[in-house]
Amino acid sequence: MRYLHTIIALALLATTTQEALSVTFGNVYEKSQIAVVVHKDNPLKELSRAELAKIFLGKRNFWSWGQANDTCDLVEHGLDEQKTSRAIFSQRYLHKDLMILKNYWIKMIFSGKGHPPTRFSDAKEVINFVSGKKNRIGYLPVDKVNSKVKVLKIFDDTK
Amino acid sequence: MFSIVSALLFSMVVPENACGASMDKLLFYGYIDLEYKQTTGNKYDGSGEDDANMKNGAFDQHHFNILMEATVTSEIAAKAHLEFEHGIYPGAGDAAMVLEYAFVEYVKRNGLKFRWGKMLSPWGIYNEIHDSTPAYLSVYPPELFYRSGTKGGFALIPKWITGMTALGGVPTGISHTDIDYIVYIGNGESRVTINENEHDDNQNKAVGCRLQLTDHDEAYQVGISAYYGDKATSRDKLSETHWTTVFHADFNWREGNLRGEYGRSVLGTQTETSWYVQTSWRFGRYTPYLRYQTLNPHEEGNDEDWTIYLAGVNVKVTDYLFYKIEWNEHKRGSNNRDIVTGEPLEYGEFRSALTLLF
Repeated sequence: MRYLHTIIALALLATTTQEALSVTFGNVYEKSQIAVVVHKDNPLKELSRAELAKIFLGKRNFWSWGQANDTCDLVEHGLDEQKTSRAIFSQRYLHKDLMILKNYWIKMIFSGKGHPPTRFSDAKEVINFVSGKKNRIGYLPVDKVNSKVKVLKIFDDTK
Repeated sequence: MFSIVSALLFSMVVPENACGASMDKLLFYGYIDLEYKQTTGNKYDGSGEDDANMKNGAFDQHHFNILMEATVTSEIAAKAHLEFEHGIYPGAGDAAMVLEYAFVEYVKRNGLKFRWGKMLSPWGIYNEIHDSTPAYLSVYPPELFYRSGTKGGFALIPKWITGMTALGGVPTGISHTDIDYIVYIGNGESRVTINENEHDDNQNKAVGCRLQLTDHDEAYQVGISAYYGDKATSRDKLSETHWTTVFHADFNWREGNLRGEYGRSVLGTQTETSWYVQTSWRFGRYTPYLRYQTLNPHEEGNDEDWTIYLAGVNVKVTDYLFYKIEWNEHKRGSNNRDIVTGEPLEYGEFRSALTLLF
């Protein structure tokens, strides 16, 4: 027991060094297209990137017509995590890589400020969720979009 | 008058069909951790419970915490955080069961929420996630800053406030930044024998606020927290004025983070200051971090400072499992009131923690 912390430290140092050497800075994301979708009765046609980020980060709770918004994430099973729709959406529209986003939600949950969007693993579930109520918003690969939902144009106002 | 206003407010926000939350509107989160701590160096040979005396090393089942969020309507939610600390059983040392917070939240509109109940006082960077170990890199938050009451001084700002808050965020219109604000009123501090969540042993209510400037992508946050209240320090001194100002800054760049806080507090005739700076850089799942923190619990006194140098690594084993390992080097002034006769002024402390989030 006397040398327990030394043993743990050395073991950790060895694995840390090994992994650190293999890490490259920045992230490589597949260039697939993501569409932001809302209910067909949602009157909006476009949304700024910053507003979209606030909605998906739990900082903007209501639509302009007064109804509370309801968000969802798409994390496809069986994919490399960095290639899921959530990772691509997060990098492109929330300007956060996945690990930063997860840490963000841990802080939000434990400070009582909010909880992450409802999570789905299939684009069909996202479409069913979004098309179910006017206040809902989600995202999915462009090639999965159908006529049950409306695609929002997202413009970047922060450049 | 107050009761009439309260009744009117309550009647406006309680829905007619508020008859309980269904399970699909009830969320649970939690975490459990196991720590191992050991001090080294020139140690006191007694059997005290202070960290400086943990020369034998010890496992500590520090936290088992449960969070609950019940959505009543889209505007109203009840939130609570229950903590079981140090493997609680009756009469055991620091072991405790604590209601970290339990409040009702009413979202009036974008940028305006109200809360009432018992809350973690919203000040600085860490207090609202005080014991939530998955939410920060180190084993403990900067303890000389957030736990100065156990380091020879007094709490810069009380950990909890029972009362009401208004909070939100509004765009500044300048360079894609928002101002996050939170203002509160509550019972404030009382003698240790008084339950501050039930009674107030002076007439003046405590008030406080935090203003924080943050950019839309959270690349930086800078803010100020302030607290004013009366503290009952003894039966004879029920209203000593307590006034605190805290500044904080947090910067993120690529995989790096730099943060720091400075606090100055005046309680009666005693002035306390504390500050820390911390930096980290993430390499995949591994995040090494360094921290320097210092506390002067009594500026009018002599040689009461406490300083800690820290170096550690946080390993995110999976999304739900974290391992932390760190070394803390403590240096204490000989007049620090936390020191028991014979304890070392300088000592090293190894800490590690395994934390599971669920």
